[in-house]
Amino acid sequence: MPFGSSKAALMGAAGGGSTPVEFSGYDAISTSGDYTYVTYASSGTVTCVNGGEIDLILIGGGGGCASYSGSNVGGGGGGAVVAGAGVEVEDGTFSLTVGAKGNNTSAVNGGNSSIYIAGWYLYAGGGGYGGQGTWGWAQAGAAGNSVANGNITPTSPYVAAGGAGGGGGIWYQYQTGSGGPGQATATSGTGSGGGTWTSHTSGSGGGGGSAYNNYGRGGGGSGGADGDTGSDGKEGYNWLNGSSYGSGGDGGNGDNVAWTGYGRGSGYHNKSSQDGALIIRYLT
Amino acid sequence: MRTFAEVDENNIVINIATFEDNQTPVDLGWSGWYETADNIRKNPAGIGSTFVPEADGYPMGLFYPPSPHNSWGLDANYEWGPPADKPYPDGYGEPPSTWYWDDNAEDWAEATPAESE
Repeated sequence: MPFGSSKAALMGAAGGGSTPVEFSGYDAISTSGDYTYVTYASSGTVTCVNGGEIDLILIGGGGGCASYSGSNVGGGGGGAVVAGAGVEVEDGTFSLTVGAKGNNTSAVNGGNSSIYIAGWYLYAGGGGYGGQGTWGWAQAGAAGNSVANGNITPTSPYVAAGGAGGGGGIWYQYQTGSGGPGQATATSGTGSGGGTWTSHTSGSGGGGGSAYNNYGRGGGGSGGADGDTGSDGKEGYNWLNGSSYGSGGDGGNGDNVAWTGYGRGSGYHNKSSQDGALIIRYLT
Repeated sequence: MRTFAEVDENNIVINIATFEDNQTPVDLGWSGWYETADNIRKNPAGIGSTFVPEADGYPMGLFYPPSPHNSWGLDANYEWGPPADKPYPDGYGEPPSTWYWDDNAEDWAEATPAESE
């Protein structure tokens, strides 16, 4: 587990003076209103050059599905989100793991994102895969990754969000697979950087219903929206920048609800699932 | 971007993560990570998959997934299948065969169509 961060400075909360917060090593930077946003979309290191108060969101990888070209297959669940506000980060370099999207030709959950920053161990579990839907088999969608099901092994103090469940597959008029259960956020202790953190349970995948509705069910959203007996993937967590992350993939029908954003599960219309990410914002 | 699987001391995959092409786990000094994709190592890795470091035809090793059904077994080619005394029914997986594997009974069963809406 590459959590071996090497903090360059451990003295006091940085950024309290006139020096603005600054990060380096990111994949993208943008400004909107009073804020600067930096995005890390791959594993490696996050360097805080000048510490201070930040908001952040960590997103797990979206759940895969057995075949996103098959309309009978369930949509993948959204990757979990951990969002913190008013977090005091110190100067230093921190190891980041960005959970990969679940494979889109096999039943594979998304990967877990994790980082140790601001005195917290943060985890965002991958979304559950969408169930296979083929002749002879209506597979259940999978649960998202979480502490409760053993797919995340946390170190305290932590905030560990569980991923959304994948939708169930359909075997034409014969069987419907159940949806994977959405997973809760687990916490332990208090990190030195404080802040206010999300504590929600991700949505479950859709499942059941009439097998004559011949489309796989939609994946759950990481914001807490459950799937149902329909095929639409559910929206994920709407963050401070107005974007949704960790949305569910659709199970394939004419409504063509195809969310975008990091951590989205795979689906019939929106195709490939999406990797996770870390996004940090601070006052410019 | 490239995807790598993190493997524990029992060769079980515990995570999959994405890396830049020039910032792989090797470049970062992270140990216990193996690349995974559709076209290498037989199967794409997922959490719970098993890594086999050496296997015939796969000099870089392979991944195989957890069993898809209760009581199924792994053959010499790292493929899951039903128990030897319960082979695949004729026509399984193709219309009009209605056989399926019942995970509760751990045996084959025949499905009947659901009530229409």
